[in-house]
Amino acid sequence: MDGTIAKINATLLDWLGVERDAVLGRQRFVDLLTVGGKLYHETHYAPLLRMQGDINGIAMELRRANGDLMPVLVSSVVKYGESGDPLLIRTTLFDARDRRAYEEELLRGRKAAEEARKQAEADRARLQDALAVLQKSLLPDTLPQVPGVETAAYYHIASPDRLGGDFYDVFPLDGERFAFFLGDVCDKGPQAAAVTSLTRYTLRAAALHDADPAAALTALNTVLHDRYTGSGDPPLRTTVFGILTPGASRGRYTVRLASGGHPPAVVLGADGTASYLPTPGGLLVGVLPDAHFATAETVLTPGDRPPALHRRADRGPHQRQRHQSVRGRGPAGVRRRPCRQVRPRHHRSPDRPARQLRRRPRRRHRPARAGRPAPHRTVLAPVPTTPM
Amino acid sequence: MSTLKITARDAATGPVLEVFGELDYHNASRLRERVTATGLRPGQRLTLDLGGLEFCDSSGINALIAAHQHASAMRADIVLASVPAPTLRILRVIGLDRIIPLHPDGDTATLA
Repeated sequence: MDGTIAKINATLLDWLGVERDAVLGRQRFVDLLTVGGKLYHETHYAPLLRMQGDINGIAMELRRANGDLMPVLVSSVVKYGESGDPLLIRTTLFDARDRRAYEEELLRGRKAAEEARKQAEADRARLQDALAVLQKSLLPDTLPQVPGVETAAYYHIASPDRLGGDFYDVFPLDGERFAFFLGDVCDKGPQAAAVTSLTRYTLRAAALHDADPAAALTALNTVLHDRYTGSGDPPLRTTVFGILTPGASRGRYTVRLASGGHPPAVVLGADGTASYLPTPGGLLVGVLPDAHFATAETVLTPGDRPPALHRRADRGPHQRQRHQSVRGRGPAGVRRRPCRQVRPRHHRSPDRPARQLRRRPRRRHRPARAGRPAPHRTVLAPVPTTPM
Repeated sequence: MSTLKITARDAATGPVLEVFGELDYHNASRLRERVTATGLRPGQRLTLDLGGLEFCDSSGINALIAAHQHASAMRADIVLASVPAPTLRILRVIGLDRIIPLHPDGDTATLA
């Protein structure tokens, strides 16, 4: 019972690489173990065995004659004599080399997976940074100060990796006039972003060359038609382009705009009335080489909130998903509600126009029923402030 | 999933595609494929009968534009028949009604 080895089989001798005579009666079981194993045996294994009479499947390591270590699972049971006194300990060892290798393989796999995950996260972060930079290049950082008009922007995207096909801009043409545009490419992702970028810079360059809304859209049409003819998949684009020209008195602006496939602008009067500024027949931009773009003109007086340009977007895949979820046909999709506006600094009640304009698209962004008009998503509304 | 069904037949004027169901992002490419598969010949008229169309999003509009461009490339005509009111409204907004002739129904569209 002191652990001296009284009997040992050939298999264990083979594992240990020693002769039977070197072990029997000369070594104790703990002598076969590593230093750590010896300690564990003394502090845990032996006491437990004494207390319980048996112990099962404890992982230890044998020290072999050649110095190698061999993982084993150790089980022991105490045999008692007729008087109930413990006679001997029968110990069985299982070769755990396969199991150990398997565990190490698991650990290696886990480590590799962890590293792959970290790498993927780093890649993802880099990609998102790049996308954010690209997205910023599609929209103005800040809107310019237009004398007598306050400009502001509100823009919301649901997911940073879904580059938008929505665009808008306000920029000075010369000392007096300002140009603005608003539009949509029917698509999302890098392809839409590429079209958006081309559109934005073409419109800006065209407007500086010829400050006529229809001419700007014609230039854009030519560029986009040339670029995408023969691609078999021309992206659908709607655009409104306008020029703000100051009138004789402060706060009066003439707005001349041209529309390509865009819903008509709405003029919100200071008295609370709303009316369309129709631009019938303005064709989608880039579809035909010689497209016609309808123009319209109106004069804005202080307090007017003209023209509110509602970009009416059809349901894209994301809205489609919401639509389905409402009908119980699929998971809720990504919500995306870009909504921008250029709004007045002061009106009789400063916050009201903004709230109203902003709330309108939000309310309208419910999933449309099949065949119904799609929700508004964008509002651009330059508004002259009250003259000083 | 949304449903789209397209049936093809031949009229004296040329191929006719009848579109039923919903034309959207997920299946608009099917209309494009069917249009290019019609075997449209120069001088013929491709008729798209939209009488059974229940929904059409911008992808569907894109498919209609692609059909128009395909017909132009084949030196053939294209007409839309029985356009539902909501889609008609969109066609007017984007000016497509001035590019592609519209017919109130499939029968008048296929009269020579």
